[in-house]
Amino acid sequence: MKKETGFYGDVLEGLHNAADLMKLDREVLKILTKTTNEITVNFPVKMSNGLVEMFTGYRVQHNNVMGPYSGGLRFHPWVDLGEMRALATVMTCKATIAGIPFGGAAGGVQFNPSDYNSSDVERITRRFTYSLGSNIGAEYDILTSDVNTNPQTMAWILDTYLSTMPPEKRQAKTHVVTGKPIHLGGSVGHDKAAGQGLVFAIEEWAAGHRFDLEGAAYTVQGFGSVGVWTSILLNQKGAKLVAVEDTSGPILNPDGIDPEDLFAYDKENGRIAGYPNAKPIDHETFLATKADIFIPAALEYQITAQTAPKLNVKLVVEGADCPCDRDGSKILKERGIEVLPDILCNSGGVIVSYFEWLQNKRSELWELEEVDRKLQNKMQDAYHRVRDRAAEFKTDWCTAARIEALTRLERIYKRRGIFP
Amino acid sequence: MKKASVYDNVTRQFNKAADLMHLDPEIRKVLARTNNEVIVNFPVKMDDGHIEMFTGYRVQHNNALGPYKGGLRYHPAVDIDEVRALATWMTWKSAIVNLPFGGAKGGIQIDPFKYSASELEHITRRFTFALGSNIGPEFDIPAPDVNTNPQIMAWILDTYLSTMPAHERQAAVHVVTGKPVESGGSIGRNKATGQGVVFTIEQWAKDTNFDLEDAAYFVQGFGNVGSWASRLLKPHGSKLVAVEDASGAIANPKGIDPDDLYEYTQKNKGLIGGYAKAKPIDHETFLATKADIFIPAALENQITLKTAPMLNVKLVAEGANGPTNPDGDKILHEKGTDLLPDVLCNSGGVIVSYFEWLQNKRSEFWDLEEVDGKLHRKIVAGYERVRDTAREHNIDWRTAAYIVALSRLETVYKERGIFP
Repeated sequence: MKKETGFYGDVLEGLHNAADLMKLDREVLKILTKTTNEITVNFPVKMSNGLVEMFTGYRVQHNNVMGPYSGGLRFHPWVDLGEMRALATVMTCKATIAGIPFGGAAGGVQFNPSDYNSSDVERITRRFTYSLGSNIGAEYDILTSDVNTNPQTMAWILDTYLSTMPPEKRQAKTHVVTGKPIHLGGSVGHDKAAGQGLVFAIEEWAAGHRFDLEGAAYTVQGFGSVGVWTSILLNQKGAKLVAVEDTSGPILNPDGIDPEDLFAYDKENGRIAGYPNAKPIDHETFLATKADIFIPAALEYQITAQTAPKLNVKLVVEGADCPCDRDGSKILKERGIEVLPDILCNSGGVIVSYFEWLQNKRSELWELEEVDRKLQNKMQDAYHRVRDRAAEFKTDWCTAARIEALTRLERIYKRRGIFP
Repeated sequence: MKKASVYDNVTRQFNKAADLMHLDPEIRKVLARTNNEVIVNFPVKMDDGHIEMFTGYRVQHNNALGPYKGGLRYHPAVDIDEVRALATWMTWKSAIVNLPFGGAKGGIQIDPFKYSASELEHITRRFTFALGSNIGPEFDIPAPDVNTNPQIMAWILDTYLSTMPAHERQAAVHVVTGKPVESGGSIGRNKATGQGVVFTIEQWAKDTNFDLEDAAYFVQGFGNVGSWASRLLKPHGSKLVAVEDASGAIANPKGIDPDDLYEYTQKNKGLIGGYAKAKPIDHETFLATKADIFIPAALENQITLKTAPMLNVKLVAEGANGPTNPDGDKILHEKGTDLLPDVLCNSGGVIVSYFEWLQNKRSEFWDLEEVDGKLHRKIVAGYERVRDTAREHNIDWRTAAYIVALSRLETVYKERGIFP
């Protein structure tokens, strides 16, 4: 059989390693190392210039024994079946570790939205939703925002999906997408959810290590939604942001950077480079910055054989998906740098998506305090379960997190058996 | 050796016809892609209690003319490229003989001879379940193809109906065609493809003042299509001089009785190998057999740059899908060999599938005379459209058949426009 390579190959290898260590039932492993459904749609869109353009979209559904499929939707020229398979598989693990009744899925459309005007992006989004048809649904497969998609995109999907339903069923289906704008059924606290989840996980780690976050130094790679919210919330705990990097380049201030002020600058200028209260540095200096915590919150594969030896921190908190490659992970382990793995610590977004889904389903509107409290409970619970697995199997936290997910899924398969 | 891409052949044929007829460039973009591609991975509990994972496909090319329609094949060579090609051919086929159907195809990548009947039943049922609402009597209607038969269609029917609400079941019997007659199949469906091949050959003989009495022909493949075409040519007094299948080739210049050979294969696992009343020959000798008609009724890419020059016949009647690749086409055309292209010649199966679908939908039973009469009218009308187009544009018959199909689809797209 052909061996999978790239991102999906790494995801499968991670699952195999964890499965070997915990002695996962081979039958269950066979099932979990395949995706259940893979939908490819090619659809024509009449663009604002009157011409027809063809687009390719995907929805890959990995597993739904825990509950309806759920996962992000990204608009990016690199979107392909392999990437979707990997992301869908990771989603199953993430939801299982977080202890929410969702399965894993991922989707996307292969195009660069910044090449199109907003009206064309709307047409593409709506035609894609229509093409997916009954392959998505409020109790079947729930979409949420991801790279280059946002609450506006989710609103278009919602409107298109509901408009193709019989009128009497429409109002009961608003949970077909999460990450919606608040007045359309979105949840308060969803915007900051991923960052809030990271901070809850970091607090748990600090409590467990008797580490004082007051005065602790940290660096952040990526200053998008996750990076910004994590910084703002960590600063409220008294920690100090000493360096930030985004595509415009890294900046440093050993005395601390005010994230809210930097965010205001970024919003005005569209980049962090040139921020007056910090000095520009190069990428190597950024990576080697001495601090307590490093939070990669940008793209995958940033911590590699080349960059891992440079890090000078106690803890790496994976805000992004898969920021460490195989070699990078190995080096961090050898150097004794702790890692809070992505599938544990960046699940805040998924968890609050679940809360949004619950609120829609029950016609409820929760307050921020309730959302935050429930998110904290979920993150703490997941953190403790993964920590205990790491101790039980004397392994790193990434493997422990996968073992936690596989254990739960195995238990379900043993009970339910194989249909028919 | 890398498997030759069948979909490349389809694309080349499509481009040639589209250029020649000046197909609208917007509609060309749409027809050059498949609408939906569904890949499912599903676990099946085998006879020994173990679980095996299988990959199944369903590709839906276009449904502008009606519900998607096309066969399911069980073969180790099934992959997304092949299924895409076969789905596209189905769209052209329905359009040429004027059926209200679109094009689809599916299959499972397995060698069915390696499994017990009970395992094949489980695989078929689990595949049907995995396809879920991606098939349906007014949406996408499977039928038999390579290595699938009425029994397999009956399992699909039973599984599909069993997952429907009770009061909807009886009205959904037309979700598959090619069913056993007792389970809602049509009389005459079994021989339909071979019958259609013979009807088109008769028409060709009439047009070219050729006498089928004593005409020599040879057949590649002796499954459903090859055996029925041979047996139905027998009453015309034509003489079967050579046959080839997976077990090798045999020849008898004095003629092989197709009914007798068929009886033999029924006791010999469906294979012709070892038949006493003919002598074994090699593949090259088989292809070079001097005869009037060659009927390829096996798999794709048989008549190529290498093999086309060996053929020594007046007419190639394509019982199989895609037996001739574009290089083979060119050589046949240069040699002045007549061609009844697959999309016309083997459409008898889908035509009678349409009759079966109609009978189920209307709760009717037609007799054989009615089925044969209607099949004859449909396929002869298709033949005449292709012939007249070939004469009008002075082009080969395959390109003419494509032009008939593409013109119909172009008209429909111009009338309906692009949603939304």
